[in-house]
Amino acid sequence: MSRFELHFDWSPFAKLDQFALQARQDYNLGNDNKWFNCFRGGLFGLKARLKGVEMLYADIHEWGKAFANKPIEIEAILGSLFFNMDSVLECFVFALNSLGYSLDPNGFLDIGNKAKLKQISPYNLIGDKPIPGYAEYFPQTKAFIIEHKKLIKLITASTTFPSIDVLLFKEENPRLTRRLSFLRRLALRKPTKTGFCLLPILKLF
Amino acid sequence: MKDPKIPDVERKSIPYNQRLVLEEIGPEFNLFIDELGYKALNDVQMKITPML
Repeated sequence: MSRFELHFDWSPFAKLDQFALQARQDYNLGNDNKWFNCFRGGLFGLKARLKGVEMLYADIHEWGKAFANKPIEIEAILGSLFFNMDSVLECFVFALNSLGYSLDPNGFLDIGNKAKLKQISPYNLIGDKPIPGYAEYFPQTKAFIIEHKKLIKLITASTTFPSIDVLLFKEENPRLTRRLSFLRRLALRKPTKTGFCLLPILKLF
Repeated sequence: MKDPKIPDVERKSIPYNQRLVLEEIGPEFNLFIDELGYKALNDVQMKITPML
């Protein structure tokens, strides 16, 4: 019998956040290259995506949303669910990479380099050319992810939609180049730091 | 025109992807993420805390 709801345990991630906050203090690691901002951004993204997985998984079981509707609507919910699962993994690796980078810049991807950030994925730990820092600083995590390689491959393979990837990488930043007319109507001439929340959501990288 | 004698198989059967999510990936992903958080926390406490 399948479970009707998923509930994720946030407590270890909250402890990780507290640890990183302590590590970020100037008397410890400081905040060179704003690694803590990247770490917390990844962790908050992780929390949001986990919420998305919980909500969409519940939608699958709800009458009127999945069971009573057309197969194409079921596919839409499942597609969103897989996107959230995939993003959970990316956000987690992004957060770990930021923390690792604060300790060993040579062992992890450069958080100040956008091209490098696009390479962040679970395959940094399990791929053919793994990033060396994970074996040094996160050995249990790396071993656990390798143990679940099959699940990760299934999730990442389920979110491969070439048309969406092309759209994301063809334009410099679709989140900023789109909907300018919408922003103008709000008297915002161009996207600002405070106006980002009005823009459509974008896949992390 | 839809033939009423032909059962609406699409609507009565659960698609493969949905079955996969319900029976396998969903619960497995839940356990995986819960455990993953503790693995990362253990690593941080064992490997990084001594460096601070």
